[in-house]
Amino acid sequence: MSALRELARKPLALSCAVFAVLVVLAGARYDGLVSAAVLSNLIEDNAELGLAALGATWVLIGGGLDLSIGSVCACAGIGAAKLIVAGGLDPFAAFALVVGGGVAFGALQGLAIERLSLPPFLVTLAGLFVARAAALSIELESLAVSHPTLAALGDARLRVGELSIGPLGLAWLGATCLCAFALASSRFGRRVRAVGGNARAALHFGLAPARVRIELYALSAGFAALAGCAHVVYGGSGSAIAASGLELEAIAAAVVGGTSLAGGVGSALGTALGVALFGFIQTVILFEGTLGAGWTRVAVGGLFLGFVALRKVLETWVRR
Amino acid sequence: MNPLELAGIEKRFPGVVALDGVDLDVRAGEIHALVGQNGAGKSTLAKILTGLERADAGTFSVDGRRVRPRSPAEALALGIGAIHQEVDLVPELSLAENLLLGREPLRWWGSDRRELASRARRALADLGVEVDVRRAAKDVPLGVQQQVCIARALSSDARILIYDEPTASLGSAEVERLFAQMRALRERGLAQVFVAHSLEQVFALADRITVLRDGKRVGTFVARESSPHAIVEAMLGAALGGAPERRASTAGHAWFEARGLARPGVLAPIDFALAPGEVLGVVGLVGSGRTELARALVAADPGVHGERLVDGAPVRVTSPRAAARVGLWLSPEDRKVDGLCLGLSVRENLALGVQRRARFARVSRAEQTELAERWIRALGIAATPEQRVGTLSGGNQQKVILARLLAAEPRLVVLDEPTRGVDVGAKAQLEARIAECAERGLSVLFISSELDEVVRRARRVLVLRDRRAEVLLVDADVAALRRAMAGGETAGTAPHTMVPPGGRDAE
Ligand SMILES: Nc1ncnc2c1ncn2[C@@H]1O[C@H](COP(=O)(O)OP(=O)(O)OP(=O)(O)O)[C@@H](O)[C@H]1O
Ligand SMILES: [Mg+2]
Repeated sequence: MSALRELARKPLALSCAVFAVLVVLAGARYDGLVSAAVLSNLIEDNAELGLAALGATWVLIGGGLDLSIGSVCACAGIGAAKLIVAGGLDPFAAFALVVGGGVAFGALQGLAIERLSLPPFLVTLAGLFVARAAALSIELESLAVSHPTLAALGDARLRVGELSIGPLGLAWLGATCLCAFALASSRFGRRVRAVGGNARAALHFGLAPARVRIELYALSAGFAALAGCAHVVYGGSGSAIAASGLELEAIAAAVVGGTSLAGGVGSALGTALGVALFGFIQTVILFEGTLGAGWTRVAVGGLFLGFVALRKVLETWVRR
Repeated sequence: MNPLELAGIEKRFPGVVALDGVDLDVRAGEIHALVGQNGAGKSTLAKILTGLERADAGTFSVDGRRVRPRSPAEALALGIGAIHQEVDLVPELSLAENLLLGREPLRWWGSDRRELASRARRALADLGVEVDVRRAAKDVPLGVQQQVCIARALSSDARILIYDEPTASLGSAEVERLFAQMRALRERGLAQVFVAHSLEQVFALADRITVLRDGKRVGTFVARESSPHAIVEAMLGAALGGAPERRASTAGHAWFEARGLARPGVLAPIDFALAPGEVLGVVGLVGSGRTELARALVAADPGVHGERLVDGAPVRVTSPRAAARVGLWLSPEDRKVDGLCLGLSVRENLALGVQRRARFARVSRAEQTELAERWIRALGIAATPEQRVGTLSGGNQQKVILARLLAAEPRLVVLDEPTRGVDVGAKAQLEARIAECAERGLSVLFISSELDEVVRRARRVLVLRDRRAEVLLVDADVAALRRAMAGGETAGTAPHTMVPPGGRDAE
């Protein structure tokens, strides 16, 4: 029992437990919901959010906040599409370019925050507007991309038993594992946790918190741009108005997965779980099938709130 | 050539000259104490040494080489390590990670956890500390956290260590341990700078003492040839008036009474009563329940049992706010956490305290300034009314908290370690001020680990041991208190006993 309590103290374990309850309940109500095919789709469908949420996780653990994720994602998507269609570039070259651009944009935001000591909220909010405007200036309409490489990517599947995972899912899962490892035992990961946990101590220890934070904003924008590329691969088009509000979903996914808004605490696996929860809620609504478009959002919000509330109840019950 | 030499160091902040041509030299194998009143510039000097601030003028050399560290990292590279007042580790990281942050042993796949742990263990064993280095920093006692800070500095080859009020958050056993360690490091030839307020500690430890006053160096004294008296005189620039004599408390009727005040698992039921103008001392070893009692009285934590009677009638107190409504105020031990609005001025912070009292009446700007000036004078706060509290020195911030508390004119205040981090001169002022308030009928629950202070102020002293009331002593001396705290004294009186009118002073 005490071991169970110890386990339940970890936010990630709590999220897992509540998620499991949700899956069992929903599985009992809808036939075929809990199946390899649904899981395969869930992974592939949510890779974009998953990648963006990884970036958000890093920034939050480092004690910062990035509101520009959605806009940067859209800008990277439309930028890559334009490079491929109008510039005749190979998709991979285009992706590399926009991710590089994203990193530079993030570093710029980080510099503004640290060198001018401005609040991250304001700077990245400005970044949100700027990146969205840049996206719209590239192309107002959505831009369809057809390229043999992209077509091949779209069809590629890795089969593991009944699961079949596409390149996007692989990228997301791979990136998650990489981040999980980096957070736990790389020097950079430890620095980030130190800066987010107690910036003053980190400074006294001889770390350079400002530099770490600048690197974090670059990393976050890089992930956002990567999410934009995923968007292009997934939908076969880029759009300047895509991914609005993605930053909030990304932050919510991270927080559900146990990342603290106050900094210092969090995990990449938890974030993946948070993203999976979003995907799962959407799948459940799909299975319900009778909801109108507007009500879908309401249901997502309601289920999300229910999840968080249930977790809190469980948490207080365990702590007692 | 000394490891550390400073000459003519100057540092200005807007409106203040924090350091004005300060010289300091520290020898190898020396503990050099830095003393002075609150705001004298000690912390500023320590910050310059560790690269957190840069001097406006003056020279700074390490081993005869001119240096100018711009960050703690650079200072550390020069061999200067720092142990700060607030123990600062990253709470969520393990002790090992904290100890070697930025210098972790690496392998191609990342950091080598086993090597990390064993290096950390060795560094701590070197200081004689046995602890599981995989535990998170937030889960170990403050004393251990501080040892990790020292081990950290040593393991990065620091030869010069700066301690800024290192004992401020430690219990007495932990202080002893720290001192033993500092002495051992002295044997190893390290140069150590020790900022402190307790002259007892300074004389127990230091070889030489540099006194700062208003940002200037008054002089450097050899400890063996000097005396606390001389140091105090140098600090204040005048002789210290004797501490105000304790007044005979007119032990009238108890207006306040606590019955069975308890928090299960934390504090066993305690009864006590207070007369107007009475100062009741509370003493005990670290962990004996002193702070728990203070917090329980104003219901700062949930789950407190027991009754509080004001003027004979029971009152409902469920939160510190409710307590304040019936006139009970707590000045908490850890004042950084919930003490002050650092972004507001001294005037605004004091006005906040008063506004709670006069809920609807507007306190005019002129009145506020008048109030601020009065308390600045009363407690000798080194600040102007409009100065932002965040820019005050540590000790002056504490004075502002006390001023705000007393300005709210409570009927009973609980002072938990009110003089920690406050200089000798201010201590006397503070005591006088409390005595003055007591004369006007304020009752005080006075919690302190400085027993002579308690004996001077309080006639009745409640001794706590193992989270319960051990005994109530009347007119006891320091030795008697010590014995009772250790658990040897039985000849006390029941906690309800009031001092008979007249008491010892009348004898
Ligand atoms: N950032 C700042 N801005 C403005 N004034 C400052 C700043 N930091 C310190 N000061 C002022 O410099 C003076 C010296 O402060 P310092 O913290 O060095 O004092 P101290 O000797 O450490 O005092 P204490 O014993 O109270 O800790 C004080 O008058 C303080 O108000
Ligand atoms: Mg200080």
